[in-house]
Amino acid sequence: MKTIRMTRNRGITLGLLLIAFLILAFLPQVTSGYVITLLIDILKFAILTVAWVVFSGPSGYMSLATAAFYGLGFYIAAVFSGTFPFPVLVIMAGAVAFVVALGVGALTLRLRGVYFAIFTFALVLLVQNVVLEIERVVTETRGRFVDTVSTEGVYYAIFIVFVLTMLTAVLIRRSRYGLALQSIGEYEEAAAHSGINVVRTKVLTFAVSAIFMGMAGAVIATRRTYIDPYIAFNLNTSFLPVLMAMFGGMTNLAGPVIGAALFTYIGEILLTRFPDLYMLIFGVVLILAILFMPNGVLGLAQRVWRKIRGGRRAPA
Amino acid sequence: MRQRIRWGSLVFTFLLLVALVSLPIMVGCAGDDATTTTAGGTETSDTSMAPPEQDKIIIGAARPVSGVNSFFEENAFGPAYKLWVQDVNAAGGINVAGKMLPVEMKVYDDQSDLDTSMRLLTKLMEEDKVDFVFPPTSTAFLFAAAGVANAHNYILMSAEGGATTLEKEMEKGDLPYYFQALSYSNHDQMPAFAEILNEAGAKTAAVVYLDDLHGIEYQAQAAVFLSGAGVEIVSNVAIPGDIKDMSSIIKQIQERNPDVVAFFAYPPQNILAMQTMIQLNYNPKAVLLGPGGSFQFFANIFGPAMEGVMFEGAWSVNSSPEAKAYYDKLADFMGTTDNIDFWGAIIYRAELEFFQQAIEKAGTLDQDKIAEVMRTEHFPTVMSPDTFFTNGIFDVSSYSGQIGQWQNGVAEVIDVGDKRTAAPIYPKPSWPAPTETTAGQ
Repeated sequence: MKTIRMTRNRGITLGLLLIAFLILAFLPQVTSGYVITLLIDILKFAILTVAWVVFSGPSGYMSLATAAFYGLGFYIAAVFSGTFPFPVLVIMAGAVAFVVALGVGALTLRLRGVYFAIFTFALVLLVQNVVLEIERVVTETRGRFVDTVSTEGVYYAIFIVFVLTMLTAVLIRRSRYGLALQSIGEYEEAAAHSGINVVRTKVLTFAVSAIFMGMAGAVIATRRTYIDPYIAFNLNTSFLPVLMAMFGGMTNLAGPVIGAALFTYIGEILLTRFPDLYMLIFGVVLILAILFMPNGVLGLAQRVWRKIRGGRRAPA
Repeated sequence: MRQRIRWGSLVFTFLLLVALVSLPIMVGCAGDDATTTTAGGTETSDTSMAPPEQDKIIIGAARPVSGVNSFFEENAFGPAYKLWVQDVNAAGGINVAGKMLPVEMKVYDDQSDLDTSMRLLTKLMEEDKVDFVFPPTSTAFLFAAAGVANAHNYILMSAEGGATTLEKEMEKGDLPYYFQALSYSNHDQMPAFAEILNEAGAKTAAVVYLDDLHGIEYQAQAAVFLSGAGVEIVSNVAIPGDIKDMSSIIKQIQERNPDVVAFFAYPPQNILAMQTMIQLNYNPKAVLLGPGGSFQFFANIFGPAMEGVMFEGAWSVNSSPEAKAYYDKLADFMGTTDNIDFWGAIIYRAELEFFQQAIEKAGTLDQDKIAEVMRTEHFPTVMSPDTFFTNGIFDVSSYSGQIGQWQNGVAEVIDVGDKRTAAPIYPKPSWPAPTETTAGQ
């Protein structure tokens, strides 16, 4: 009986996912550009947040390097704009972000706690200033133009990157590799003593998560026309995914997606409807979320649902 | 058992999401952030076309109400468009094919964030379906907005931004709806600066530039035009935006003793440069300041020390009676003269007046027809009796001037030619004794 119910629930979940996939895939055919524009931003943040959660969620290492890899994607798209086809640029951006993250991770993932967070924060500034100096000295300019891609083209590209990010995240979570990462997060010394190659696991996951950040950067750069190091390596891009993950919850991969979607959408509504109260409301919501929703919106929903279920069963 | 709880919580989460998503929409329906003002219509309207059915013109803009660029919304294009809308509405509206249509602004706060700005600009055009859009602040935002507006066939005039790099995109013919209003280095300011120095007999110059789009572009154009005018650049130094001490740079320049020092930087660096030169008592014969130097507050901060200091711009209350009248009106509207910009303020007003007359001449709200009028017609504005665009850029003859100089606390235009409102002071007087200046206060 239990097996039948589990199979049925899994089928319904898969069915819902398929419907969501189909809706997102065919949306540009039926709706206007602004909805697509908003969805592009939601999907962008969902990618960054899920990619961040893939590494920082289970390992407990607070990475603030998201903007560095995302910005590298911007620059790959700008430097090779018009030279390679758009899909090639996106793949190149992922590859470059992977290689850079591999190098940075190998050097720094022996650091722990706040030292790692500060290093990754500094990494963004370092990369930003290196690019700034190269542009100033070598190309004698500040920014670059990027060949634009149609809104539909950007939407489908970001959607494909999102699907790839989710699939990779699910595979990592369900693999031994994911378990190893989780055990590192719970007790790193114990994980090492039980035979897990701690450094390799951390570095590889860090680099894999960077792939999607770089790819997202390359896609979004084509929406900008013009970029410069301050636009590409914006520290907000490092902090927002952390807030979105906290807001949505990190116990389940749906959490970061919900967090990114709600954060972006509600932010947009507040910004356009209540511009004067926007920051105040957002600040209050964040404080309340941290105080009363340690597992995010998803965690709160699960907790309340369990209480409802428990309350209903209690008399029986 | 575990699976059953997960499924239930999933449904509950969905319902919670629906509630969360719906609430702000329902509550938000009541509060719409729009402002209304009107200005005077002219009698030049093309009445051969049928007037539009609508009762007002809605103009949308994603502007930096908050964030690092908010100064510009408060003091640059912000007061210019608000005052223009007020004037238009006070006169009954814009005359479109014989029908007076008041103007309503729909302004969103882009928080000085590029992604947010472009998203809101798209929302204004696609969801709010505004009749026209006004530009965001800063050159980078402008570049992105030009692409977005053109993709939607919306006219976009520039405000606080512009650079030679965008011309390449315009030359390709990719931006037919984009119009550059603010003056900048290559056509406008550096040729005029070179002419002034040539006339004054300057032989050598030092350039200090911020390592950003503005600084890099201006130093490159300065190299071209100053060399052409026989002024040798003896020092060319890049500075970062967060520079805190400029003494070593000024000392190096002092050793080379150039006639002229040009600072192609923003207000924080320009203020630091002035303070350092005064502290080191370094007195070049001419000093040129980039953005910030054209604002009245800069002259107020440095007091007598600003005497003879040049700035990128430019217009003056002495440019024309119309310019003086606009200065008085703008000062009254802003409640202060401190933040009046003797570079952009008159250009913003002129482009708005030009835009209004283009709509009236076209006699329609059709973007293509208005854009065509803007490309081909000449109109009188507060800036010039003959204001027009050449290849999508305000013609250099349309401006009130390019280089200004502070003389007795008044911004004067010192270009060679008929735009000049006062003869240049060259060499500029030495810095006053420390007790006479308010620098650094």
